Amino acid sequence: MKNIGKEQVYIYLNDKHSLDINTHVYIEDIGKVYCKNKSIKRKVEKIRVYSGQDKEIYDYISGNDIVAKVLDTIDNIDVTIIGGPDVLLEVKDKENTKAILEFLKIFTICVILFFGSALTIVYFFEDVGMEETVKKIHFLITGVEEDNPMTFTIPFSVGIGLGIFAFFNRVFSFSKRRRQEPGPLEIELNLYDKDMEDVIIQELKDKDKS
Amino acid sequence: MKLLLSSLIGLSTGITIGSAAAAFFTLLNFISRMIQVMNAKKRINLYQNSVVLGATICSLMYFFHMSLKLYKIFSSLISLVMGIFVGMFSSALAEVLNVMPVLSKKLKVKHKLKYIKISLLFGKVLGALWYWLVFIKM
Repeated sequence: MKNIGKEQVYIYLNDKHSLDINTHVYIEDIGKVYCKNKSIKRKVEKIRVYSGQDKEIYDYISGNDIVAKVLDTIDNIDVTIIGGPDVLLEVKDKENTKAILEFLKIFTICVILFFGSALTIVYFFEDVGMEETVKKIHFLITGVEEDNPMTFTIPFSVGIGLGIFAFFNRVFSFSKRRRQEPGPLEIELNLYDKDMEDVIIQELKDKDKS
Repeated sequence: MKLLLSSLIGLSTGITIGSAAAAFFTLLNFISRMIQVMNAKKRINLYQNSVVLGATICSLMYFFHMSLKLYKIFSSLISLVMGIFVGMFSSALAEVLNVMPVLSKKLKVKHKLKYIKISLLFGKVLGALWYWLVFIKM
């Protein structure tokens, strides 16, 4: 059976779209449109699916919304969505990073990595014994042989806390978008949930078969 | 001849150890997390180089028994930085082992991850302080 009157429109959606503050999103931004009729194609591409936001944020458009909007605007077409199902939108301000701040960030990372890998290597050489390692590194820096130097060990312990904090916590930032980004624990939990759901479905299927 | 052979063996040992360490860092994925937190992914080459330089320079200084002879305050500062590194390292390790997702699922505290993180943090810091200040002197 053929729908003679209806024009077929295929929309291929991207997974993610980054946009500036206060810009609207049209279908041509988030995907590719295929249609034999060129004028319908152009009309579909110009449909606005998302109004601009005035702050940094993560948001999404579902494929369902897109279909509804297209069908509302243009009559007599069939819409098929390929890809998706949702498009992640990342509303970003124009990056006005100060050079000093950028330099400071890079410098911090480099310093942490430099001394961290230094510690790792000495730790390995000392047969994974932190007591000896601390003594050796304290000697390396100050030139004084000292057992368990408190000037080293107390900041070291505090630093461990800072490291864990930086690793697990969500990012502190003025922009709402950055604060929306999940930490690694949230990601891991989500992956675990997904794996579990897969296994449940698989087990149910196996049970049905036997 | 002997000298050549021993330096050859030394070099190959070093390559093995170095690449093992680098593989471990990459596997744990905490460097990328650090870059993501700081939002500075433009200079990845630089970060690699600082890992390489840190390991190389420190291992040389270790074997030659060199010392920088700096004030004690530098020791404190550098140890703070090292602590940050170790903290990230250990939490990345714990995360790879998938302990916390399983536990929090079992105990149904999925939406109270904040408290898990905080207790983890204080546990590690207090444990480290206890070790250095009390345990070692016993």
